[in-house]
Amino acid sequence: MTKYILKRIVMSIFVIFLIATATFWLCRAIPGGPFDKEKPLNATTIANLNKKFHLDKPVSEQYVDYMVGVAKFDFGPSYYHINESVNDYIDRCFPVSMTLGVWAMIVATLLGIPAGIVSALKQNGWQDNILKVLTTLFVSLPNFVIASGLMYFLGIKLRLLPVSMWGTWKEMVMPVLALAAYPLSYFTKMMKSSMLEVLNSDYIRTAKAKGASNFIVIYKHALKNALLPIITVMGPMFASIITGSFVVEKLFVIPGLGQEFTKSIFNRDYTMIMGLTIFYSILLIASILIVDVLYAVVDPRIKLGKEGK
Amino acid sequence: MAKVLEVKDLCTSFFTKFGEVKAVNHVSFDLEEGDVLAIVGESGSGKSVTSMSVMGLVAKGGKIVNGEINFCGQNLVGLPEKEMEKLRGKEMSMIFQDPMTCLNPVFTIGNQMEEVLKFHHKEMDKQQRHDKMIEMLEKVGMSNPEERLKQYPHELSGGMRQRIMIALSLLCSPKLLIADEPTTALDVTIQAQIMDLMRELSQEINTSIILITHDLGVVASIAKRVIVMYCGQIVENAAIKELYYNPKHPYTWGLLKALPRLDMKENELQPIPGSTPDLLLEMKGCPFFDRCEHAMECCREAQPPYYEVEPNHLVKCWRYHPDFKEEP
Amino acid sequence: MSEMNPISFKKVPKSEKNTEKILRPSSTFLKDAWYRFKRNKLGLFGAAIIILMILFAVFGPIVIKADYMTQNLSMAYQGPSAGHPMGTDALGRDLFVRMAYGARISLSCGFVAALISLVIGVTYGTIAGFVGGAVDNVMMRIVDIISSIPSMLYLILFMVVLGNSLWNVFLVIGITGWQGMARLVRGEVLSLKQREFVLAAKVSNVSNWNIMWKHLIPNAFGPIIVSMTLSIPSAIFLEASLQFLGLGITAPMPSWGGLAQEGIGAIRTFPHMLWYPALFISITILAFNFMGDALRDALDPKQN
Repeated sequence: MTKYILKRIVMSIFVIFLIATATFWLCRAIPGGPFDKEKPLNATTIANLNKKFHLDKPVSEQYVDYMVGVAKFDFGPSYYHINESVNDYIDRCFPVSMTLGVWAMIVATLLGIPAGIVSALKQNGWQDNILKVLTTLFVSLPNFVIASGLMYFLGIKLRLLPVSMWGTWKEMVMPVLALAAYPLSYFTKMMKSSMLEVLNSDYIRTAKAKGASNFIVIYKHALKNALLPIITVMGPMFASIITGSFVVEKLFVIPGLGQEFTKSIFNRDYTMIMGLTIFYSILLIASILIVDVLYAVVDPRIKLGKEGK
Repeated sequence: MAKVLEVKDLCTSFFTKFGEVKAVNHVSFDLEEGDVLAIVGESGSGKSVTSMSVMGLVAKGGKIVNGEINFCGQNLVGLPEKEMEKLRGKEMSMIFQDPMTCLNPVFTIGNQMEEVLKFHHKEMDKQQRHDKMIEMLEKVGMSNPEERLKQYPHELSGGMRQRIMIALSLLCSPKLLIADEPTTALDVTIQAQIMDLMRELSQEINTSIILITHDLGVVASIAKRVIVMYCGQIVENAAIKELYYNPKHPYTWGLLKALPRLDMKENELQPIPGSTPDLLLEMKGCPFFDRCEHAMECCREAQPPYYEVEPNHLVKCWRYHPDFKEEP
Repeated sequence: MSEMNPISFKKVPKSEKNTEKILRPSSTFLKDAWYRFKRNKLGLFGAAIIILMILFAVFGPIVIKADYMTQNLSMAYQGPSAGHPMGTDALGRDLFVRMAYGARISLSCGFVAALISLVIGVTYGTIAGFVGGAVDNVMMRIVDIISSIPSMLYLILFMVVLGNSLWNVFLVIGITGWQGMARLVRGEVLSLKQREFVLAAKVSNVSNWNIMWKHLIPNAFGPIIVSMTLSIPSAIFLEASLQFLGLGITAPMPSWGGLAQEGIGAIRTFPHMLWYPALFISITILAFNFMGDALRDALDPKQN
C-alpha cells in the first residue's frame, strides 16, 4: 500500500514537473515581451522592469529559478499587479473557488447518487423518464447556458435569489447549482447504469437466494458495488468543476481564482497565467491521486503494491 | 417417505416485446425427502427457470402463469414476498453455476455467511454464529476456517469458492437444495470432489437435492431420479437406472449417444442434429419434431401425452401410443 | 386431442423437417446500420436539426440583406420584427444575420476541430497499437497525462501563445481533443491485429503501412465515425465557452458564445439577445449528441 502510494506520488510529481516545464517554455514563446503594452514604455523603464523580474538573466537560468520556485510552491510576482505575487492571489481567491467547488461536488454527489438509484429501480417508470430527459439536457448544455437560465428565471423574473456577488448562502445557491448541473447529471446516469448492471449480477441472485430482503439486497449488496465506478469519475468531475468555475465565477461576479485566471489572460499577466495553470494542474493531479488511492482502499479486489495499477 | 416438493402443472412465461416465451410449459414432478432429483437438458430447455420458479426468483419479465409448487405442504405460488424471504436460505437454498461471480466481491466470506444466520436465526449471538460458520467450513473441508472468514472471494480459487457456496447454502440445514450446474465451471479434477461433498452433506442433514445439469455423466453418480427437459417440457421422467438402461424418448437416446464413454471408438460420439426451436413460435406438435430421427406425421400435428411405459417411468412421445407399430 | 384425430404413425422424411432454419435473409453491415439508424427517432430528429442548422448557416445571410458589422445605433435593442426576425443588438446590428454567421463559425469549428482530432488521434492510435510494446506504453502514458488535465486549461494557454484568430481557435480545439480518438483507435488496432486476416496479410508480405491503411483502419471505421460525431458537439461547446469567457476570436466576428456573452449584458432588459444564441447552441449540441448516440447504436451494436 505505502509502496503504491509512494510510486503514485513520484509519478505525479514528475507529471507536474513536465507540465510546469511545458508551461514555462510556452509562455516564453509568446511573441513580444511581457511589458509591451498599448502605451509603449520607454527603454529604461523596461530595462528596470526586466531587472526587477530577473528577465535580464539567460532564459535557462530563469527556467531553473522558476522551477525551484514552483518546487517551493512559490509562483513568483505578478507582472501586472505591482507588488503582488501570484501566491497572494491564490491565498485570497482560492478559498472562494474551493468553497464553490466543494459545495457543487457535495450537491452533485448527494443528489446524483440517489437519483441514479431511483432511476435504476424504477427503470422505464415515470421517475426514470423524467430523470432521463433532465440528465440528457444537463449533460450536454454548456454551463453558461444553464447559469444564465437560472439567473434569468430565479434571479430576475422571480427575484428569489441575488444574481451576483458572493458570501451569503442565498448568493451561493445559483452558482453552486449551475456548477453542479453537469456532474450531477453525470453521476445520475453513471449510477443508474452501474446499479442496473450490478442488480443483474450473480451475487445479487445469491443474496436473494439467501433470503435477503429487497432492502438489504439493494442497500447492502448492490449499493457498495455500484458506487465503485462512481469513485473513479470523481477526479474528472473535479476537473469539470474547475473549468466550469471559470464561466460561473465570471457570470455571477464571484471573486474566485477562476475569475482571476480569465482576467490575467486579458492583462497578459504571464506569470499569473503560468502560475495558475501550474497550480490548477497540481490541484487536479492531486485530486486524481487521492481518488485512485481511495478507490484502492474501498475495493478489496485491488491488491496494492503488487500490480501497481 | 414424505414429499418435500410437489410441482404440479407449472407454467412460467417471459413476456418480451416479441411475445410470450413459454420457458416452462406444464411441468409436474415430485421430490421425496432425502432424494436427489436431476433435471437434464440443453441450455434453454427451461431447467433453470423451473428451479428459479421454485425459489420464487424468476427474473424480471417472467411470471408463473399456472400451476402449484407445494413445498412441505405449502403452495409457494402466490406466496407473499416476505414469506418467501423467510423460506429462502433457511428451508430451501441454492448453489449456482459460476462460483467466481456468485459471491459478492466487496464483502468478506465471513460477512456473507453470517448474513444468512442473521436473517434466519435471530436468536444466535455473535459467538454462536461464528462457531456455526467455522463448523460448516470445516465440514466442507476448508483449511484455516478462521482465516477464510476474513478473506474476500477473489482471494480464493474456484473450487474453494464453490465449497464456500455449499457451506453457505447448508448453514441453516435446508430441506431442499437446488444446485444449478454446480460443477460446470470447475476443473474436472474438482468436479467429483464437489459432487461427493454435496452428496455426503445432504445425507448428513437429510436435505433433498435438485441437481440441474446438461451433463448426464454427472447425474449417474448422485441422482436417484432423472427428469429430461426439452423446450420447457418434461419429455421423460424415470429412475436413474431405468433411464440409463431403458431410455424411451428419442431425445434421451440422443443425449446418451452424445455422451462420451471410455469404451467408445472415436467417431461413435453422435451429436443431436440441429438446435432447439424458437420458443416464441407457437408449437402445434412435438417440439422435438424437427430434430427427431423417428418423427411421424402425428408428431407434427399434435403434442403427445405422457405414457407410463413402466411403473414410475413417464415418456412424452407418440411412439408409446398403444396403437403404434414400428414401420418396417 | 389425441382422441379427436386419427393418429398417423407414418414416418416423416428428413426433407420435410427444418433442422437448420435460416431465420432472416442476409444483409450487409451498412444496410443493417442504416435500418437501425432509421428506426431511431431521436437520431433522425438530431440529423434533421443539424441539416436545418447548416441551411441556416449557408443561406441565413442571403435571406436577410444585412451584414454582421453594419452598425445602426438608431435601431439598437429592437425586439424581433419583420425586418429583423431576431431583433437587433446594442449597436443596432441584425441578430438574425449575426446568428447565421455564428452558425458558420460554430459549425465549422465543430467539423474542423473534429477533423483535426480525427487525423491526430487515428495516426497516433494506429502507431501506438500497431507498434505495441514499450512504444505503445510510453505513448499511452502521454495520452493519460494529457487527458488528466482539462483541455480548457491548455486551450487557454495555447490561445495566449498563438493569438486568437479564427483558424487558431479551430486548430487549438482540434489539437486538444484527440486523446479519446487515439485510445479508441489503439484499442481497435490492438484487437484487430490479432485476427487472422492481418496475419494472412503479413504472411503474404504486405507492408506494415498497407496493413494499417487497408486492413486496420477500415475495420475500425464504425467506432471512429461515432467518436468523431460525438467530438463535434464538444468542440462547439468548447468554442462557445471560450468565446463566452471572451477568449475566442475577436469582435466584430460574431460567434454564438460571443453573442451569448453580449446577451448576458442585456439580460435584464433585452433577454432575447441571450435566448437566441443560448437556444441555438443548446439544440445544436443536443442534436449532434442524439445523432452520435443513434450512430453508435447503428454502427457499433456490440457496445450496447
